[in-house]
Amino acid sequence: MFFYIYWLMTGVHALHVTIGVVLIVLFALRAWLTNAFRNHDTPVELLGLYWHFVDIVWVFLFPLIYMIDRHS
Amino acid sequence: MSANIPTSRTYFVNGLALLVFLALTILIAHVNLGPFNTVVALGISVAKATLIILFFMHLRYSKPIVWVFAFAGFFWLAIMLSLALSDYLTRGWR
Repeated sequence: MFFYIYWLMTGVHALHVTIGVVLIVLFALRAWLTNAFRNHDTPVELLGLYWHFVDIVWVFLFPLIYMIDRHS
Repeated sequence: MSANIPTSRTYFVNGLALLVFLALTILIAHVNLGPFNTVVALGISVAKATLIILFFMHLRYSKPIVWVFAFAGFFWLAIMLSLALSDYLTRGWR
């Protein structure tokens, strides 16, 4: 049961992180090569919100799957 | 979206605070607190999530209506999680 949930949670989280990394690279390239995103555009704000949502998921997942029952 | 944007210093200090909380999580996990290990770990996680939402997600600099929607979202998430955990949480309770 633990490893069923473990692989499901880390797998879905890995998918989210991969999507985030790809989007951030694309946004960074576009900001570097063009004049897009000059004045704090909404797409950048939304990508930031998405990235920090993924961040919050790991904030809860990390202690729950790696830190539980660590003590002797 | 947000009229006044925080400086990069705000993000740096916030990130540093999150790292301190992370160290605290790892240290406390090695101390035996009985059933309170999970409670303390989740309490620290809630504090970290609050920092992320307030500063990284700019909620601190947003209008009250945005606070209402953010709260509604997390409240709904809490309902969904407690429904998903309803079996596990009530197993020892006859």
